[in-house]
Amino acid sequence: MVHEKFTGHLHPVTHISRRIVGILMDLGFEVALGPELEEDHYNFKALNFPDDHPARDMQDTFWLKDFPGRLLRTQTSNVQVRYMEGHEPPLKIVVPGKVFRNEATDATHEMQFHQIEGLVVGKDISLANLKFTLDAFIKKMFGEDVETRFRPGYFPFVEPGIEVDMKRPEKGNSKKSNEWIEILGAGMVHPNVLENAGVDPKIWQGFAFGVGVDRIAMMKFGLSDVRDLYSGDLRVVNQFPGI
Amino acid sequence: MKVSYKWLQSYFKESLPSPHELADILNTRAFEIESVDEIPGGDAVIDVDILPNRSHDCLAHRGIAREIGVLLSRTTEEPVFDLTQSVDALGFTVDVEDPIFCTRFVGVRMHSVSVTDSPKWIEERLATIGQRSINNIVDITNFVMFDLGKPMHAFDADKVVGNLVVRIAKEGENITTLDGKDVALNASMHVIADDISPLAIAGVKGGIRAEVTKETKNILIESAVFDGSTIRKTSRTVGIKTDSSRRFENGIANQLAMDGFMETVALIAEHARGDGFTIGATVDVYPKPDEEHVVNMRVSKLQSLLGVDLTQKEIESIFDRFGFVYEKKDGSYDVTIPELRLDLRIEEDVIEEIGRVYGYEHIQAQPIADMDFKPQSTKEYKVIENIKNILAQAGFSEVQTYMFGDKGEVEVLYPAASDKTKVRADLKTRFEETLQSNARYADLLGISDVRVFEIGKVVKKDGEHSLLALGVQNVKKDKKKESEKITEVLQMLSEKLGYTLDTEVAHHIVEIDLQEVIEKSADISERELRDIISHADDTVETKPVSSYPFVLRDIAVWTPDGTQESDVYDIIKEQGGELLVRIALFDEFKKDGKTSYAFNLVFQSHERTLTDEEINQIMEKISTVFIKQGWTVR
Repeated sequence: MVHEKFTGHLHPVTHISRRIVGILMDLGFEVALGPELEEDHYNFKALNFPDDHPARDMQDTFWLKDFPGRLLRTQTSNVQVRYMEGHEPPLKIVVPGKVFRNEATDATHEMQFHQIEGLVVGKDISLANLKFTLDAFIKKMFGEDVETRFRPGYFPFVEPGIEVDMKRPEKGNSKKSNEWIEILGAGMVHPNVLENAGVDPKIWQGFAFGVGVDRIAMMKFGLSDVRDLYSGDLRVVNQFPGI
Repeated sequence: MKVSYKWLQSYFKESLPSPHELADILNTRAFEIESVDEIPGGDAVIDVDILPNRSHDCLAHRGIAREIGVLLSRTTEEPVFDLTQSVDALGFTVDVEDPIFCTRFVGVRMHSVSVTDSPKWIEERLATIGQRSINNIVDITNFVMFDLGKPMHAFDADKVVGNLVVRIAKEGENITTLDGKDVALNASMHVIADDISPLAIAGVKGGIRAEVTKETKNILIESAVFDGSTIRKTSRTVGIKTDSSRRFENGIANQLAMDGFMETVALIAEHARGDGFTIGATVDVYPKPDEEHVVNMRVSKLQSLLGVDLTQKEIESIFDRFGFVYEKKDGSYDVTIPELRLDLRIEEDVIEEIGRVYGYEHIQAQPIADMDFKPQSTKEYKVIENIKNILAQAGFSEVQTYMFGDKGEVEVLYPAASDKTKVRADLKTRFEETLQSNARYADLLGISDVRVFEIGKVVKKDGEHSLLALGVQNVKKDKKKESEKITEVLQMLSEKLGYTLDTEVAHHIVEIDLQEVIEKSADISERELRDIISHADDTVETKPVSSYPFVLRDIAVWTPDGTQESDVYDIIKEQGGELLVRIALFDEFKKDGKTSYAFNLVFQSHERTLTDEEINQIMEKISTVFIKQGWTVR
């Protein structure tokens, strides 16, 4: 390329988020959003994290002075109950957004990062449907020859809880065999969550999943330090196309 | 939790699969495995990630062994203890003031123990999982905690004055812990005390006053169950987290108090018996025994939730592997939940147990049947993504900066860093810095002005706001002022959004609250949104950013008519090598049948600061090739 086109550049997180949201839109999902300044209720309690429960330690939380009971959301799952309060099932939503964890930062950990949540509620939505949806998503995102596997996991707002791993195909010349990589968390929506949102768990059931965008951006783009995503440094951003 | 492979093996007659095979089985059917380390002596340490749903029974070798038993369809060999030998009448009493905090207290007084080193096997097992050996009594209580998941405590009975009481701490009371820390107590905490003062912060840490030492002759054993959420609060307040508090926090079955007690007493009787050794009568304060939990699990729910049809035989054989007692009803099962499984309370919990043991890999993926749902994505997302495209088209780069800093209206509680104490209240404050730092790289980036935008949330005293910030900084001489460029792009945005942004542009940075923009912009259909976000590329391979300075050089050359820009470019690229990171044409003109091309060259290394000399050599190489072509370097 001799002449460079005069164009702007979209942030790597935008590129990955759009890919994920696009794949899910093609599967019939609607995009929903939610607040970053959130109530304990929607971020934790309504999601079946009791007060003073060790499950809360799984997500170090930013609490704010002057806003008692409010926090910076630790997960885009905060939109689950919010959305269901305003919409009757059946429903199929994808929720991209920024989340926060009060943790020390290093090359692979940031205090802020992006998640995309998926939520499907219907009359007989099953784990088999979850499997189909995530298989389709992972193959679209990482290639048709990628393998996936479900194994048990724990998140208070799903039951059963699932961890999803993926494995890239072995390359003939590579000495090191490819390993399973944890790619997302998922599960069947806990009846308490439906109930907390005013949805009757005797009639409705569903699945939810959450995927970390920054990690996928790092994997896909070969970025070695997650902090480069938030440095405002165009030496990083300008390596990505605009439109 | 770190577990010893040999320790797990002690629960089985037959040999277990190899440590790595075992780890794989656990990983796909039960718990995530962090690591497997083979250690000298034929043991292996498996680091099992036990999450809060199973911390009440599996922060323990026996719990994990039972899980392995389920997965391998094997029965665990568990010792049965008999305490009838040499029981005497030496009792003690304990007063439990709050039975909601302390649901069970099992204890015993043991006379004439011999405090020595532990037997080798106990020392070894503890060492394998990273626990230091202290003496046989303390080691046995530790061993039992890691074996059964039940924290235990031993007091030197001769240092206890009067009777034991489990009570709320008094304001102003203090305790010196076993590790010599002075801790101030208050009425939100519970202690185990004697007539004089606290002997332990209940469930968290023992005190030094009744410590078991080499001189100890007589001991009191405590095996109690305390309320998890109170222990959690106390542990946070005093800033002491222990293996004990971690287990109590997650809740412990009352049954485990007796299991732990029996094992502790039996091991002490076996390994710490002194002359005239006797065991007193067991004290068991358990005013409200746990009720049995029976969960009704419908087969239809199992099938609809997992999306797989299991036969009666398959379901029942999994129940049998768990050792669940169940009763078949019409289309459902009444499953009696084992006392230690505090996590199994609703039918979905039981279904998960069946699903994971059956194996999720056996569940066939099924597309979601058509549902009566018409996607209507939120306008907020549609407008924001549209704005990103419009700005990118206008030459702006999208940045994301930090939510936290030292400026803002709202403070963070417990900030992770001293310069990140506040949540940003605007985007523009940091934009000045973003513009300036990027202006320094203009040549490297090949830009004549820096154009950036950010869309993000901020938090003010009145709540969160969604903002757009735009900034321009001219780097090269430009007739068009920065504010003019912003005015232009705002006009373009207004046109394309169908909503007039009447923001005043006085400077080179503007900030716009997006709430009204989102509400009043033209509607965007689902199909249009899909098109907007189709501008996404996940195949970019990035190059790392170098932290070394870059060096700028120019080169201009006269070439004969017909020479293309690319002919010149190719020579520069080839001769420049890998240190030449950017080549940009900045001037081209014709005169007397010749064409002059002038290029900016940017050099940078990922390993070092480049010297003038080495750049000169590269420039010399390029010139030499130009001259060989018969061109004239200007």
